[in-house]
Amino acid sequence: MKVSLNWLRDHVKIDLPVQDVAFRLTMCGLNCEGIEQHGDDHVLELEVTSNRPDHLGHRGVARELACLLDIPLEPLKLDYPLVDKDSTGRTLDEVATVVVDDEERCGRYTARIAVDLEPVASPQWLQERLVAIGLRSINLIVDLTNYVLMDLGQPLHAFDLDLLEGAEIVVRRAQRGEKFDAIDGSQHQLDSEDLVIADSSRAVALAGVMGGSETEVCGNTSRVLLESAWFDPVPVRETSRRLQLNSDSSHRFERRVDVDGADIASRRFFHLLCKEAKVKVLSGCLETVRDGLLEPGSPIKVRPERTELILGEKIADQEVTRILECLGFQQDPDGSSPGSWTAPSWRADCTREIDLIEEIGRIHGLDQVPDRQMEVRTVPEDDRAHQQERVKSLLEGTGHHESLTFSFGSAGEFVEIEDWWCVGEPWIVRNPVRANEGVLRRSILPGLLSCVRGNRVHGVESVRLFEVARVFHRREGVDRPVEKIHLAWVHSCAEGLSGTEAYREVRGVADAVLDLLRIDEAQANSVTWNPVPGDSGLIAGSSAALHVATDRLGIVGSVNLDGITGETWCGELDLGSLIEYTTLDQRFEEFSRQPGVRRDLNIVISDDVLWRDISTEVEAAQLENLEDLTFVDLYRGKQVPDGHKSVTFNLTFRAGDRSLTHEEVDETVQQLIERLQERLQAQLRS
Amino acid sequence: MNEGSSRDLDSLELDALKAIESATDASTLEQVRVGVLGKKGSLKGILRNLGTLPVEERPAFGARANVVKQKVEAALTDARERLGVDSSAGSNKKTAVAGADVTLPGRQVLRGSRHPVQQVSARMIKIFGNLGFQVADGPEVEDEWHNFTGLNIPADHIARDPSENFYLQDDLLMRSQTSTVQVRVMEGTPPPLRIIAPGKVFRPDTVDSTHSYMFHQLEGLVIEEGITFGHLKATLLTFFQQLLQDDGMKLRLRPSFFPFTEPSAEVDLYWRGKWMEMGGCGMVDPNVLEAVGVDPEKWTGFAFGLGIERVAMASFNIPDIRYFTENDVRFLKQFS
Repeated sequence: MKVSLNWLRDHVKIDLPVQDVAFRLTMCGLNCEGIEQHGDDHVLELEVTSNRPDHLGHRGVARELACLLDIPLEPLKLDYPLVDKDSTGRTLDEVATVVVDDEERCGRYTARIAVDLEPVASPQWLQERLVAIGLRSINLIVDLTNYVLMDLGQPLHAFDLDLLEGAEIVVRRAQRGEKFDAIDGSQHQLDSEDLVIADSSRAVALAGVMGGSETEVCGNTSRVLLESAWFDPVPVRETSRRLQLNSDSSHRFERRVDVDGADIASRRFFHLLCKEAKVKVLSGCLETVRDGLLEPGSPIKVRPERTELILGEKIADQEVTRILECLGFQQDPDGSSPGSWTAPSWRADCTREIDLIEEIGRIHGLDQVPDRQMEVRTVPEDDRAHQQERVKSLLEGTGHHESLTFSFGSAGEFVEIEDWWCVGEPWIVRNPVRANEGVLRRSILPGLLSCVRGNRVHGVESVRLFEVARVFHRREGVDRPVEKIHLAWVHSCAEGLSGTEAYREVRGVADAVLDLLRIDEAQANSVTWNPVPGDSGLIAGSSAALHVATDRLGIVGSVNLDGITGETWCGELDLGSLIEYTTLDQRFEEFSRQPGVRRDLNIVISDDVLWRDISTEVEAAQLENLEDLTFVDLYRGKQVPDGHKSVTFNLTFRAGDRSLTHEEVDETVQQLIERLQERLQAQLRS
Repeated sequence: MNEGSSRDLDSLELDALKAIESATDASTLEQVRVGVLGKKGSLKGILRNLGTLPVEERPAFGARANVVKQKVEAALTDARERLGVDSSAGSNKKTAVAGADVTLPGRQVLRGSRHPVQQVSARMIKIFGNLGFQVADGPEVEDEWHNFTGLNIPADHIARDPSENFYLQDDLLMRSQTSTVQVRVMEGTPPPLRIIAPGKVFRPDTVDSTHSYMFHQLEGLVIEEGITFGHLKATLLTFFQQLLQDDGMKLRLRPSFFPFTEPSAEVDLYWRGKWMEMGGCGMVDPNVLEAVGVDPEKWTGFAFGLGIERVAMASFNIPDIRYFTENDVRFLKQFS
């Protein structure tokens, strides 16, 4: 809202530099976003909160200043000469009629009429005021309606009475499909939810939103019917939104204008009109008011101790009284409830004690309230957050950069990954900002992979990213998304990343996370990794899924990134579920201080035997004193027959109470070799 | 104690020390060292027979052997010094690498980074933790009750408009503020309460340098007896002082309007020469307390919501919010 300083001075005699005015207003809730100079005037751009429609007019802002600076608000002049009859001898009632069909939506309608208007240009002062706040001067009548709108915050509309068919005003619902031509030149098809102002044959205004072009006043209009009304906020907003027709008028009505303001603004208009033009105003007012609309609200009790409890500062009684009276509140008007206040008609936002306490605090200065420290408290550590933090540190320490991608996804490039590993259809977003973000993501990987592409396209050769975030799944019988915390990581490199070593690298991240969360211990060996099929979105043969017990809780593998050289590997874990398996009970375990004996084994074995088969056999052999089995290398090539591979691993033996002899270890290893030969057809190499 | 073995050790010690004392050059010294302490030396030979001793005697014998070893080593060191022999010569220590260039850079260690928004969030959590605030959590997809009704936002309020929110279906939308967690916590836990809820929020705003349709807020809520606006002021001031560690910063609470707090204020921060809006705050509206069955006459409290991206942009001097979701490695690695 643009506010002219000179204009404000009509209402309150401010004698302060403009910066001070701006600061005082800012610190009482009217944030000044800018000051412009206009000749001898300054225009302040004020940010008005949605609860304060009274600030959408200069007088409302001036009232705030009067209270802040403790100076009086000038009275508003509303008087003007009246005539009982027009030149044909008709009274107001005989000249025109007003019928309100829908009092729910039009709570109050007032119409006054001026006749025998002699054409005259808008005076200089009026034009200057309007131009200063960014409005165009059109003609005297329109300029005055705009002036009163910007002065009092009450929208007015002037009809050329000679263009109103049947000289009647009917406030009714539009017919479905009824056409309306607005003043701004736009054309609209109305709906039965829209409220219109009509004459005997057509809609002449869209109630509270905009007047019609067919009955607008012009420079030589001689008879004016001035509408000043109160429309229900919600329907005005709905019509304005649906027709995408916003105006200064709808902006105010949808925030709820002052119910008493309709009459005052109308009289103010005619006061100014009579000063500026030769005209006759018919006495009386064509008016309808919904029952009870004008009744003041219930008295509101304000307890000094409650005020002190909320603000943290005792405010003197006389200061409380001064502030509230200045803002238009009336103390105990009928003497029945001492210490109680009635809110003025323009403060529909004030209905409770807390609303008045806010007023007191706001004017007194919320920023001036003395600081008070709270008593000290300690906070227990959040175990789940702690585990998440450890996992993130691990990813950071292994060279991954933490990323932040949108929670929205699309049925795009990597949808197969989501379809395969995240059970259930995605949740659909009704109004996505980007067309390709029409669903909630089920996996972090698609978003992360497109960031990888972005980086690679920008020439970053090696990209390691990770993210911990929520994904949104569907579960039968649950009528809202199941939110899970996932961890995803990717490594994409132009060269040098391929084959078993690349798989082992991304898999190594998963293994480290499982180890860190001590999942294997917690789950007593129910952790397995299994090959994934080709429809998983990952490249079959080099990708695997993690199962803990019967739950699938992760995937690792490689993907095709079209147009990107080298290889891209990735993984994702259902971190939230894994953390649930973690035991926090960490205890020391005694270890043997005896020397260990290591034996390297290199076997040649059929290609279809997996490492898991070998490790299972080793475990099943229950070798005496075996401490550890470690995979070393896998090789296919010249010295290995077709359809076979060479696998190297080592075994560490250690006894708890003595040094092992080489002989006994060799004997144990020999047992294993025989077992592998027999059960897996393995051949010892070299 | 097995007399024979113990005597072996004594004579070994005597012989070795004598030999060292009489040595006149480095190679003699080295011969003695290998002969006594080497892999096939006399000390190792004696120790190999340890297994033949009764178990209860082994520890004492081992300890005695250790003393001998230390004495011989000390004598060797003294003798080397006396003869001016470099201690590394002749031992298994490596000599200097020929042609080494110690001005070469170190091999690059793999180092990742944490996202600046997460770093700032973590710092905020830590500072508020020190002030007694516990982290609370709520879903990112919310119903209208928790996103609006419970927060005193009436049915016809403009904030509920479908165009202002990401609706999934009627009564289900992406939360537009972390204040939803206030309602959830108060529903589940009676006061006193002192919590923060950091997290993502979603509003279909047009994207520009300061707006995104997904961003992070940190919500704070205190419900205790006797809590006033003065406590809110002091808490936020302490927080920003600890966060920025800069005496030049200023904080002001500028009256504003939010349906769920009253009085309400914007949190304005003056730092590095300009005022910035960091979020909103206020005293919890009695309607919000009543909606979750808390007696507003007994309990009062305050709430605030701070924009984490705003804090991050101010702290790191990042000019455009879109950097945060672009995830360009050249951006991210600056925060390692």
